[in-house]
Amino acid sequence: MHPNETAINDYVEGTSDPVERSSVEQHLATCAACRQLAGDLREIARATASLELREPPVRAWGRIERAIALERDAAAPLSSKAPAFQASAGWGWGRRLEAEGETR
Amino acid sequence: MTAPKQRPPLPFPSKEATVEPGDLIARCQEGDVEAFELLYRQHAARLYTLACRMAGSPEDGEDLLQEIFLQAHRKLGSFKGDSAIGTWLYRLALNHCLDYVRSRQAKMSKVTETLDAEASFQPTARRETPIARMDLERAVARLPEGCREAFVLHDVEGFDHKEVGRLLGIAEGTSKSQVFKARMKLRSMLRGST
Repeated sequence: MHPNETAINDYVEGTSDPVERSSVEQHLATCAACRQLAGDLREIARATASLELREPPVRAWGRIERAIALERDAAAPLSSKAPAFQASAGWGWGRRLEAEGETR
Repeated sequence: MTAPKQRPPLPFPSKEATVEPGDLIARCQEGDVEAFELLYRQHAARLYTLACRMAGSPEDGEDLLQEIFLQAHRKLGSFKGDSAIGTWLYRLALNHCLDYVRSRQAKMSKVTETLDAEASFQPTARRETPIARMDLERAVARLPEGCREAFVLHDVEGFDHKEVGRLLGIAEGTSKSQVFKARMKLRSMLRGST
């Protein structure tokens, strides 16, 4: 009779008590199918441990940067907000216009 | 919330590692967007990976990543340096992922009963070749909600069942059974995929 699945899972995880562990070991010695299950569970654990980090898409930072700018703009006092032409033309151009105005 | 116990945290990418963390945080807190971008580049992969796996899709993972870093930007002013910035960001990301999971579970009362049949004991299954990482990533994404989050938190992130239970609002024993179901489901999905 096969041990229940949880017993094999605990055995593979190393969390079964000594009596249970011994019982599972005895069964595995004679049952190829349960050895296969234990092997598969070990293999899944091994593969899981080898999973790697995933890099986010390049566009992800751009989205975050735009969202931060929008939040800042919404939080800024009305007087400090850029005129619409500055927002559409980009800050660099807007700042250039301001600098030119100051030197005139 | 404690740090994962079974496995040390995955190393963060070491890009731009020449900047002292304290200086970087101070610059971020002063509103320096370039410094915040640097912080993002150091930690994004770790948090994006967590978000993708918890959400089960790269699209949702990307949305979560944006929300995580927006929230980090809002809250950085309150960061006192009691923990490493990576730990602070990880906690923030994990809480965000858990909120997402809870709200999605509230919307969809998707249950995993069907899994019981699919993951039933099949000792005759055979696997002769190692599991490829990409196959496993895809299979994890296809795990049903409930057992996927428990599997990711326990087997991937290294939390113990007690902590997984606390994070997901389930009993410790339920965490254990959900993780087991996930492994059996993965076994079923991966059989013959290589």
